[in-house]
Amino acid sequence: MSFINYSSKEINCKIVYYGPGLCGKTANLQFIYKKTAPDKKGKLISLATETERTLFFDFLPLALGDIKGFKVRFHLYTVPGQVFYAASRKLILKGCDGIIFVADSQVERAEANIESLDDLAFNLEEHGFDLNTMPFTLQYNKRDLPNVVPSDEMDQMLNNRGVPWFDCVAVDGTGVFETLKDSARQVILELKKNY
Amino acid sequence: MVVGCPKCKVKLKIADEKIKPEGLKIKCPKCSTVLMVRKPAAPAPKPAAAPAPRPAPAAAPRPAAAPAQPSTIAPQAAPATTRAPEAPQPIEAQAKELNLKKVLVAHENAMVVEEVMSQLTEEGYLVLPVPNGVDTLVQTMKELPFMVLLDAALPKIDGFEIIKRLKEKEETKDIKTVIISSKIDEARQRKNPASMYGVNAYIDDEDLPGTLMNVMAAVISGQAPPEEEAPPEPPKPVAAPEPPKPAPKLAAVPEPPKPAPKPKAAAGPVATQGPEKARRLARTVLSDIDLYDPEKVLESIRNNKFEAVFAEELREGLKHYQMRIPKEVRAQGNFFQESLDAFLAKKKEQLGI
Repeated sequence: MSFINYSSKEINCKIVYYGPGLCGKTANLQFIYKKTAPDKKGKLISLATETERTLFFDFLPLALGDIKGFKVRFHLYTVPGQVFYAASRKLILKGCDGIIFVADSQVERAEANIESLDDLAFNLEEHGFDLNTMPFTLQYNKRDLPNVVPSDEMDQMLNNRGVPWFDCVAVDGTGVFETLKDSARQVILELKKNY
Repeated sequence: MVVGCPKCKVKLKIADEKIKPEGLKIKCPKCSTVLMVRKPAAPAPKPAAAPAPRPAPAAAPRPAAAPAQPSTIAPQAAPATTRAPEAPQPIEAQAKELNLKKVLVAHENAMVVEEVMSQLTEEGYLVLPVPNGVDTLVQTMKELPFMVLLDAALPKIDGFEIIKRLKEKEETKDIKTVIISSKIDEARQRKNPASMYGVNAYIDDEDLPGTLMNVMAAVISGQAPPEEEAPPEPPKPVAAPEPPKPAPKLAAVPEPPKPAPKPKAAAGPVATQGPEKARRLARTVLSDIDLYDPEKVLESIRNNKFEAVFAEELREGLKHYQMRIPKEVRAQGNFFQESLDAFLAKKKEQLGI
């Protein structure tokens, strides 16, 4: 849940990048970190191994301007993608305001995407959230690779709810900010609805 | 407290603890008038002290007040009067405070609230709508409805948190809770929301018009106390049409609605998709292992040591598989091993072994 600090006039929201292993969640955060002005970002904390495996999570605080005099700060998190790190993923989802699901467009990861989405719905449900109602954005990553599933097929497979989706190449930044912007927009709309 | 003698107007100070609930008789030390002092009227000590002239005006406004507010307070006041004679009932101590005519509905969607209100008021219930989680808690504590119908994603405090808090409190723990929320995706959600957090029932908001009364009847008939207490209602309402309606419904429908909502969400998908889901999860575990370390995987398969080299990953994967796949599905076959064998065979084929 977004945290509003009235005394310091700050709104803190949490967006979690979710998706199967090696789909590019950390790459998203790294690109955002690289392209953001130093005064707008905090330190990128990343717990990853040399095999690019995120062990626990990546974390990046990001300032996104003001709303009615309140500074809006987004905390971006990633989860470990490997299927059996379920406990960490569940923990990181706690209190999140928005989800960006990064799907790996490669044919051979189609099942892993579905499994991860299933896992997301399950973990959210454990926290009392409903994936069908909370801010949710889809990103179809790795569009530059040769063996990808067409976007509309990806959409058919993963986007039952019909949420906004973006084609993306996280390593070169294509679609990274578009995805984040949409998620931030949804989170702020939700915030506005509730306060 | 301080009371004034109506005759000589002298002010008398009386220690609060001396005043019994039924009142205290004192003699005015100045004029010897006997006064009856009562405790509750703290802000207005004088009326309480009045011996003869006061009780009359005091009694007059009270009966007048009841008919004056029939729309809002009458249903609230009525059960209080009916319950008093029922006091000797054994269950009374547990549930006496829940108002069996009041239902609270907490939902952001005005259409849902309207639908609930129209159906339930027709059945003789008093429906209290609230817009958010905080108001739900406050109003529930204040009004003590026997049932709360609420959305899962309520603003400020979500529905499940509210249910948790209600269950924690002695005076609200027996309140029935029904979640009205958007459609369950049977393929994705493995648990029926009704099975979580002690929720009594779940209604899909799209099915609300057709299922509301059935689900309510099922929830009410699901336990004895409300049914036994239902009779106290009929004598109470001055407006006669109310009592007969809920009562026959509860008696008539208890069986059919119960089986209806449950299998819909829980049993269906497990039965049909279970093995396929289990295989998919197992394949994903193996695909993950392969993805993060493809060379090590090939090397270990070449040396016929895959299971030894990736023992830890396989153990973790199996643990996750066992946690996520229901026992009854796992009983249908060893899908994990099956997927592992298929994975190894495929890799060996790649390697030309």
